[in-house]
Amino acid sequence: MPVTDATRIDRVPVRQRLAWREALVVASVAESASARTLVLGIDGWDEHCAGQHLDVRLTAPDGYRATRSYSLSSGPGEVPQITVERVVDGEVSPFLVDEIEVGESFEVRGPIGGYFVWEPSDAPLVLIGGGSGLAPLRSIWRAAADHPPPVVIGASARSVDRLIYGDELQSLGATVQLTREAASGYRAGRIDRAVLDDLLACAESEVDTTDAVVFVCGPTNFVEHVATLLRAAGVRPDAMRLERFG
Amino acid sequence: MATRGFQGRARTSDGRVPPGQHVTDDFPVLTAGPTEFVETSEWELTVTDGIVTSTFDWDRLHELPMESITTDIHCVTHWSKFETRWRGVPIEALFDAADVGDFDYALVSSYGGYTTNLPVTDLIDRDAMVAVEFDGAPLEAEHGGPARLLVPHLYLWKSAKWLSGIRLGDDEDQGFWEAAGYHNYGDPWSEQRYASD
Amino acid sequence: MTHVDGNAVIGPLSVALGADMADAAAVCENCGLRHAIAECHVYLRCPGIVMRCPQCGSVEIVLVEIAHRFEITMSGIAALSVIGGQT
Repeated sequence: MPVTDATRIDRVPVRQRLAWREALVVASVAESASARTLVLGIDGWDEHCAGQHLDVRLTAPDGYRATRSYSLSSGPGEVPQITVERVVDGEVSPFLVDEIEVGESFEVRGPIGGYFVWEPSDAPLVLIGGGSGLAPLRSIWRAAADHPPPVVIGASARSVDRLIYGDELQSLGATVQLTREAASGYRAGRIDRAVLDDLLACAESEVDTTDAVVFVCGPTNFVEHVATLLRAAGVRPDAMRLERFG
Repeated sequence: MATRGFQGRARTSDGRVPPGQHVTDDFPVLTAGPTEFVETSEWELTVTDGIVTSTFDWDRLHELPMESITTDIHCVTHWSKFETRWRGVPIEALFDAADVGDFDYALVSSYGGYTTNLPVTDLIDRDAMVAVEFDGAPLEAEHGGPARLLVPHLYLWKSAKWLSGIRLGDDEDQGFWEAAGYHNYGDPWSEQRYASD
Repeated sequence: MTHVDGNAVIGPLSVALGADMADAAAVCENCGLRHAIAECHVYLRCPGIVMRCPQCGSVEIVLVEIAHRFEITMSGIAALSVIGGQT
């Protein structure tokens, strides 16, 4: 299997880029009943690559620390943003979704990652996200907006009130599946082979090529499910980028 | 630098909770690898001291005396769970049936390749058992079923899931987490998390 | 939750090894597969970080962060390929 020759991220030395530094919450956007986007002010922030993530570290007064990774959901030229979904019984996500306020800060390091990253190219793009797995995909579709490749988006959420980026997805003509609810304007059920065939056909009808690159991000079960369908549909493993977040 | 407003999960100083732990009501599933699914018809436990080797299949294990205990358990990832109910074969009874000799150390192994090391006294003088039931029902695979080691007075990584072997010897060989930097003994009350503690 | 991708541990692994591991590759000691570190199957819900081969599942790298030190065991990899050096 060829090893990815992803974007070199060498603008900032690794030690500096991976040092912990302060991120100030400059704005927040409610994305769904259970997720919000935090817009961050980070001194010395350098442009990130679409698809990269940040490590977030919270420290309690007694020194106890909790660290988690969150995908950057902003486009490369934008102010850095992360979109956080509240995990039931979680330790970090409820704090980031419900408690931290604009003007407060926490520590981050990054941007990090060179595998689940979109490198500008002319290949058609297929982006498939489940739940908050849409976060890095938003970074990618925003990055790709100025480039020629057609971008086809498949999104999956439990219900309308759990869907993030609803308006943006609609304006981009995304196919949105709701797995636990029927609602007009949305397709019901899991992403299946027929849905995938439609997405792949859309990507390939735009240009005379079969070299679509497919990014899939979401809970582990979702990603395994979609990856299995993609392989069955004949998508080569090296044309897939998978990110499972548990 | 403390994060304003962040407390993390409650860490109590209650005398029943070891330092640095918080109490949880659910039973988190922690694993260093995929869940092993072993049928009871396939399951075997091998106990050896290098001279005598005894193998216990499911039926032979169930011919041994079983005990029930209710105990608190403590995971090194900072959660503790109170009053968990287990049923299984005390290790002392297992070793008697295996007819193994007196040795100081044990290296415990699991289906899937996991290992952990303990002093033999901690296996036979305390409440350690081969647990086959949790909360009145057969132990589920995600919690180490059909049979796991349970050593409730040490951090839970010592309580190997999917138990497959116990090897006794004069020397202490390190197991999976011990070789990776965790404490050789792992007493929650002394907060022996890492080799340096 | 089962495993996540190696991408999730590029941060701590890069800090631990002092090199950017985003593009790094490993060769599995057990089955010989050469693969991106980012493709490892990573188990985070345990006392450390366990990285397994995406093909055969054997343990490749174990990373434990203790106070200000990293303990890394890499007994499951035959080779590690990292981008860097003089340009």
